[in-house]
Amino acid sequence: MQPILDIRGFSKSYDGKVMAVDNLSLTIEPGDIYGFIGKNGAGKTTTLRAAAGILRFDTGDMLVDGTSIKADPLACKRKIAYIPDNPDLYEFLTGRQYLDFVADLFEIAVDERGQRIEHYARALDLSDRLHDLISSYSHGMKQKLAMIGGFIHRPVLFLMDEPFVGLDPEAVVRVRQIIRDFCAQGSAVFFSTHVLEVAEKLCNKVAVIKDGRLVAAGATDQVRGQASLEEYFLEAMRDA
Amino acid sequence: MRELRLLLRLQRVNALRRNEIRHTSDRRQRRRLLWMLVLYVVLAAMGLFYATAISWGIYTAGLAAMLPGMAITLAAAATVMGTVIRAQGLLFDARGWEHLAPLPIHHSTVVWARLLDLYGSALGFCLMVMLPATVFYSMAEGLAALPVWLAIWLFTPLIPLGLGLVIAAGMAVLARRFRQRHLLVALLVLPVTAWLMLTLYTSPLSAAGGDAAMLDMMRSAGGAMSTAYPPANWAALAVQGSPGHLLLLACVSLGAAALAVAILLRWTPGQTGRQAAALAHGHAGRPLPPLWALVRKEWRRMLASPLYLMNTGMAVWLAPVMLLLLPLVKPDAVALLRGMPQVMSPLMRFLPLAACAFAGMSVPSAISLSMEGKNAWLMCTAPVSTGTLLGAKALFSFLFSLVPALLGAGLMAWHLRPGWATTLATLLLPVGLCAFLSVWGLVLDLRFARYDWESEQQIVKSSAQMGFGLLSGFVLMALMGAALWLAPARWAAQVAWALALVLMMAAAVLMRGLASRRVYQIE
Repeated sequence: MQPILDIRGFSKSYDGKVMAVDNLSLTIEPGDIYGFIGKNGAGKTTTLRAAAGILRFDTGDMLVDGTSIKADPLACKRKIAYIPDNPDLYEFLTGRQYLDFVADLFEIAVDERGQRIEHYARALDLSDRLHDLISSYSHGMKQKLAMIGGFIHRPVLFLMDEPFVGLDPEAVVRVRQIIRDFCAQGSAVFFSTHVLEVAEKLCNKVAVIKDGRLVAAGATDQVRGQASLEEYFLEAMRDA
Repeated sequence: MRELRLLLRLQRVNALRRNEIRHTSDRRQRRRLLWMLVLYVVLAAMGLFYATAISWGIYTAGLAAMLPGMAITLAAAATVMGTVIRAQGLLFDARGWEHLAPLPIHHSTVVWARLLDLYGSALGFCLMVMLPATVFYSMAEGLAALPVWLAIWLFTPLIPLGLGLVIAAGMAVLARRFRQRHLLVALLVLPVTAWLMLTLYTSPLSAAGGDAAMLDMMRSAGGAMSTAYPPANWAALAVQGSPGHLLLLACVSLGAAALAVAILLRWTPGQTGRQAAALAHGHAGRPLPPLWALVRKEWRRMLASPLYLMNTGMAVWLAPVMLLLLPLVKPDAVALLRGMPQVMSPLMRFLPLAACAFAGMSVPSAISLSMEGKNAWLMCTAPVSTGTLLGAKALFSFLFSLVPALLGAGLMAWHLRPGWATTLATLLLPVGLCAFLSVWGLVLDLRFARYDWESEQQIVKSSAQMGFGLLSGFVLMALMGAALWLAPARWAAQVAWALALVLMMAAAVLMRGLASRRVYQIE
């Protein structure tokens, strides 16, 4: 089975001076819930944004389900759902209008979109607010709406940047369950987080990045060894 | 006073984006901002040149006595409109107050700081109109009235500023109750502006023609302006040596300003935004193919932003609204015009160009990419081709400009009854111009794109691409005018057809180039 995401020698610099990510290679298999951890400014968001098609990259390539994002970005984007850390959505739309807009772009059939929107909105307790303007939403509500927009088109790959920040505890539990359900059906999730307990409980694999370089990657148990993930991480930041 | 000084300094520190120019480490951004600064200087110079040319024309016609009244009326009209537009963002946008609300600054201090900012801008613009008028008036009548002029400079912005603030406050109150509030505001402002312009410019048209008739027309125009705006008449009398009228002008100006300030100080502008947001509910709308879903999103974006709507929508709709109101404001205007062959002949030659006049001043696509702002990631991750993304923006801009342009062209043709060739040219040339500018706007926005803005003002009012878009419209109009002037009179219509065709082909070629870009990425 081919990887859902195959990052090959990815490098990215800003203005030719600051090397944000240097020669990063990583594979994510179907069913993986892959945690991406590192300090602030380590290169996590840069990697996720490049995989989502937002950033150009200097060298390397990324293949989504076997398709190069450089060669056929549209085919890749149809399979990806990207949830940024700060979900800046169209504040001039209502929640429902935004979801319909996403559904139009992904060409989801009318009857299917209605069911999916209702299902995920109910799961994340947003049903009552879908007809209000996004400008009246709190950060957590915007985060939920961005996630619903990602769930409804049934992506193969989820790219999430700090997905649990701003969510209430109940929503965190529900999102985790939804992610597990998707992965059980062959999708994969690649998300960055600072909350190592979440990574330890949820992720079957983790990658650790420092100063743009990959320090470790693989099964969570193998990466952390006998120590907790937190202990391993602090050690890795000291040594690397 | 200390807090007021600090707030004013804060508001002014990034005037003309100079603080960003000084401190940005992004060379491309600095270059972009410097170009924008150059553009501002060019536009200000053009405005000053235009005001100087008009004042000189009035002076050489021996009508220098009209200068005070006309200058003040024009400055006042522009100040009212500018204040209504600027006040929306500066005074009635909740986001602008949230940073200051937790600080130990009295609310009235913040209001005064913003009002002084508005006064400063209004004064600058008024001076651009009044300075040439002052110079040419002094050349004709001597320097004795100069101190009076200096006082009038300071008073002139006050009444229109007060009026503009009251209108803006009323619009904000009205806006709280309606979902499509910005569209409602535009629908209210547009006919009023059109009526004002028609009242000012449809002076009695003499069937005799010639220089004497022209002078009569100018005198009537001056008289109409002074009648429409009494302070202009008071100022004119004040410079002629009436201290009573100067006192009257001062008292009314200060009184109007004080009333507007009192209203603002009693009412907290910061409350308007959130309440309006909570009140609005939207319908989902029917499913659409990706291209039309994007076009619908552009329409909703436009409606949600008063700045965007007013800056791009007002100009294009002025022509058809003015033409619709013309039979009400001046029923005999068309008949009188048709009875002046020395005017009709060149008018018929340039009618297709006249139909494009306002469309050339509106290029919504010039900022449509940058208006994505922090939402740009949604466009980057959308599974649609660059051609579809950009095509939707160009299509929206085209339709948005074309509808009023064609309406205006049709009304012109209906009023003036040109032959079939000129009628066709009058309808075709706006189509070509709107098509070209819609795509050219995208080219400009791609060149100068900026997504990290905090306030829409930075893009809608202060961006290089918007400025160059407007400039492009003017340049195109000048080039088309030159082509029509150089063409033999009997072939003018056919030349206009050819121009329309060239513009449409150029649009198609440019669009093809844009659509062939591999992927839309922002960094």
